[in-house]
Amino acid sequence: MMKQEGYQQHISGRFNAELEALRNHMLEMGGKVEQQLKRALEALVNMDSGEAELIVTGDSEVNQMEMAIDDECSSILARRQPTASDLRLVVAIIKVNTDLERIGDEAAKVAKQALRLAGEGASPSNFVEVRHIGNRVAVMLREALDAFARLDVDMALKVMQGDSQVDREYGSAMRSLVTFMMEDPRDIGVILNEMWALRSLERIGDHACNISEHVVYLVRGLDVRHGHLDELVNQSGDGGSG
Amino acid sequence: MSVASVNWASAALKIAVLVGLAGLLGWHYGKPLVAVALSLLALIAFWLYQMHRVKAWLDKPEQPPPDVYGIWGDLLAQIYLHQRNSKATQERLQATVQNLRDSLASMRDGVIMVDSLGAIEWFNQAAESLLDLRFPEDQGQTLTNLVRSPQFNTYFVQGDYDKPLQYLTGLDFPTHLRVEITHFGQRQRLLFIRDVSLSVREEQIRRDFVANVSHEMRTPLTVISGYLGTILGDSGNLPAPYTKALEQMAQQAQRLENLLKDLLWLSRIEGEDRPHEQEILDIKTLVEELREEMGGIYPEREIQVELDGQPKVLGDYRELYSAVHNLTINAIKYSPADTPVQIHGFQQGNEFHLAIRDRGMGIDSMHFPRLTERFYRVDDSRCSALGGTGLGLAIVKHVAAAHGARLQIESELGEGSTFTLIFAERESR
Repeated sequence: MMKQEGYQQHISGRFNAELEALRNHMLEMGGKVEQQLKRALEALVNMDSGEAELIVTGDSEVNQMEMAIDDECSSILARRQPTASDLRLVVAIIKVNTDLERIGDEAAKVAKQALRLAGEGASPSNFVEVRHIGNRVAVMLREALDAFARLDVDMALKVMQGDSQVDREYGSAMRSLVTFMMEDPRDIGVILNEMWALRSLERIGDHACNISEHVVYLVRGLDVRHGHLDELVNQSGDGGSG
Repeated sequence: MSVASVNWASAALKIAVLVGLAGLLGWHYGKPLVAVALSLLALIAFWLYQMHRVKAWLDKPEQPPPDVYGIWGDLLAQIYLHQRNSKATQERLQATVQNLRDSLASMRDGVIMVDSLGAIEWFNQAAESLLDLRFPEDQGQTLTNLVRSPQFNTYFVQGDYDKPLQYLTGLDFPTHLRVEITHFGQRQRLLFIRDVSLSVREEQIRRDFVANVSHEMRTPLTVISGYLGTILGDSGNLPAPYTKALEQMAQQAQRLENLLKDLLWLSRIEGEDRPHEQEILDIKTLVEELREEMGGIYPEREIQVELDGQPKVLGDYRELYSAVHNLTINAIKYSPADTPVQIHGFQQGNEFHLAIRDRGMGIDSMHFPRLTERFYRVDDSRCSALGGTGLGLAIVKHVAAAHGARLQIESELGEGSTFTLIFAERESR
């Protein structure tokens, strides 16, 4: 595994500081996005329109952070021309940055559904599915960011493997919501909103999975997108965490 | 530390004797200089050998030093002594450090040491489980990369740690964590983290209980005092002894109603984290409204108002009104009817003072610390006779805290009391 000290080997102390600051800013944005997601879930389950409103407006803060990090990345690329693991760090952060911003958008979408649901009344499903998948996805996001902070490939693998589980649960949640719609067509409006929220949560799971893939790329230099996961799992079984 | 002596004189003498003997021998054979040179060469060779042994020992200092002849032996003995002493000191220090760490490790509160750049130096087991850290590998990590809550981040970065931070975390089990940070050493920071979920929950239950009970009791009480009012309105038809009893009942019912109203109000403003409706308030409007209300209740009392300039304060109008209202009512109740009550607002330095002064009997300073406690009474019999609820100053204290203000009490027995709300300067004023 790449060591924490990896970024402290440069002759230029300022370059170290810049890379470290970039990493810190990205994880700070991660923390903000985590909070947005958590609060959006709470707002949805409690049908709290005031809280939901705050999350929708809070998304612009996430967007600001994304733009600031992008600027930082391009300035490092232009001025320092990083190579090897430094280059991988910057590239990984550029990609994680986009994923985090999307997660922020999806969290805002969940909050918008919460606003709508607060107007329409309780759902017959009692938000069991949202609660369940929401918690799962929030844990995935936290673990993906932890994996990034610790450069922990094993944790990243765990997140990637957890994503297929979320996809399956999403499928069964959809089926159970369809049953509710068939039982009482008056609930269709409410359930549709809930489905949109679930769809956003499922997308957040995918983005958390992407972040984990970037962690693997950062640490191992391997591209594990699009089905190279098994290779890596085998490798990881042989050589521990590297 | 005792210092082994090095016998320079004897060493010099030995060299002199050696060179002298070699010189004599050489002189005997007719080549004194060659002999002296040879003897010195031998001496250097011998010394080199000794040095080699010293070096060999220095490479493995845990073994006892070799027996080395002469001056080198003395030096070696001294080095050995030094080394043993410093080793003992080091062990003692290490034991102390270990002891300290062990005691920190056994604490139930989480403890984290952070260096000047924000990287984790050390943390104990409690911190590990509270913040989801991992022991050896997280050392050297930037703390805010792992504890990513925005509230924590802001608090950690801003550097002003006078007040502890309390924030909500955790996904499956919401946990309230209280964080205190102190500086130590060279810009290092020490964090104490405690799980306060239980006390937060208990506080919430207590507050809810008070609010619910007060609310539930109001309805029956309204019925009772309503009927009492109806009956008393028709008091001409009642036997005289009943009238007196019913009047007392109505009075006490009124008192009970006031008490419940104050309790409800107190439990509403007590919550620390409730959202504040902050607006810029004109103190003049507030005091004028108050004077009008007081004029209705106590028409015979004089209230003097003196405001410097157009003071404005950031806050919640209803809350602030209730605080000033309580202070004014107190001033009126605890002073003779022919004395005025003064409300004086003035700027002092960066702070705005709002003082309510009476010419009453005053309060002994020994009561000051407990004055804002609920139901604390300086003189029980008199206070109940005046019809207070015992919650007034508690309300004032909470309102002041919520507005970043403090309550200052000055009083002299027989001279009167001054209660001052002091508002700190705010950027938005």
